[in-house]
Amino acid sequence: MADPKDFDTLSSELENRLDDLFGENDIQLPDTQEKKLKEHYPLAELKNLILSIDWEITDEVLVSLLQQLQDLQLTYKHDKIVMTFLQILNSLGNYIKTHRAKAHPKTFKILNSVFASLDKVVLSRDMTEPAKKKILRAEMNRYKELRAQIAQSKTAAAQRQAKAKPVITEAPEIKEKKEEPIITLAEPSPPPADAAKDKLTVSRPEPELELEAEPAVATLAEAVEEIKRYIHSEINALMEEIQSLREQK
Amino acid sequence: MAFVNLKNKEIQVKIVYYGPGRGGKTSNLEYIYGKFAKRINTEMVTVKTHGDRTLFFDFLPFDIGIINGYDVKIQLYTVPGQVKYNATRRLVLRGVDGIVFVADAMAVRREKNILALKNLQENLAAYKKSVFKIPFVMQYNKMDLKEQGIPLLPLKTLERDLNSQLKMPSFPASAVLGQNVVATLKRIISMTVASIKKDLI
Repeated sequence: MADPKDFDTLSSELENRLDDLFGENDIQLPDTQEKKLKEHYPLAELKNLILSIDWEITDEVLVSLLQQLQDLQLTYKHDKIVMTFLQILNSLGNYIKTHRAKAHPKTFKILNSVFASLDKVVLSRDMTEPAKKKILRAEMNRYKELRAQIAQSKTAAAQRQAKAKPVITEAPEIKEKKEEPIITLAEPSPPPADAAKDKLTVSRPEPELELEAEPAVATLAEAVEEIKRYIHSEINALMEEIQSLREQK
Repeated sequence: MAFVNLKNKEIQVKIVYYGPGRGGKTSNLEYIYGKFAKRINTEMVTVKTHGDRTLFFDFLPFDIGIINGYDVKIQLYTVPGQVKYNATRRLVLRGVDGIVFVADAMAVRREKNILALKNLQENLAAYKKSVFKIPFVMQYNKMDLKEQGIPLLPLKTLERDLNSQLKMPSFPASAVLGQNVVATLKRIISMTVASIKKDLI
């Protein structure tokens, strides 16, 4: 058994050591120019919506995205470069709205990439026109490439359908369990005493005692399955692309 | 419980950053690594998908050094936030000593925060641990987005939703700007080491 005094000293020494290691004196704060730009950041809402799409595709978010893009197109109608970025985003937004989770997997990556470039162009006031055009050209190429791949996938899918060969194109969707939240949204009634602390709005009983190794082994197996599913879906997508390229030749 | 080797006087502490997807768990670790890598002399291990999302976990180990004769080693982990990777999340929680719950302060993420906290409670239960008893720090991340006009949940609402029952230390933070990232880290390390003390005495 350790000496309690050892640990008391350890705690105070730990505090000092943490102060030494993580002293905040050299933390870089955003410079005032960046702060000013953020205060008048015109793409704030668009960024919010694009991040939302990356997390979950809902009607509400998609409608808001397309509306926001329309508003921005009015704001930037005299800036051809920004307008082109917005048109690409609009096209991608419409495509996602039609195809939802079945949209080409690269769509979301390109959507984020186009937005990141637009963000850079809008925020970098010192950027020259040729530099902006270069960024735009790179994004346009990615967009065109995606369009070509979508067209190829459609042709390949049509041919496969004709042959009646089912192919898995996406990872199986695992839906969120719809359960009552254990920690509820509503303001809880004031706790009577510490004695009931662990029982607060817990809608499920504590699990029965069991060996700790069992959940770990089961969890490892589940994790391996998750990884397998992911790799499997990636391979399927790649095979599809290779197949469509072959068929083109 | 933390790995404590009394013979070699070594303490190993595992801290997991938990929370909804896109909440800023990896950003917390990236900030710490980016800012203090030279001081803590370590490498951060991170595995991401092509979409820049954490698939397995991030891992940032560092050695605090010899304190009162004990060599204190800290291991920071993040879990993948996406709903479908629950098994991976549970696996990362094995042997956890302290939790930082990184909540997303964006108004649109309110339900995700609650679901993630509920999920943490379930996953800890698999290891006979309770969110009420484990060293725990709550972090309300993305406070910087307010400046960009993005609707955020008021701190009162976040506290009521997530911390009214837990009553754990909480910090409003911005992982990308580093606001309260270090304060969160210091607090969870202190709490976790203190809990080890309780276990040993």
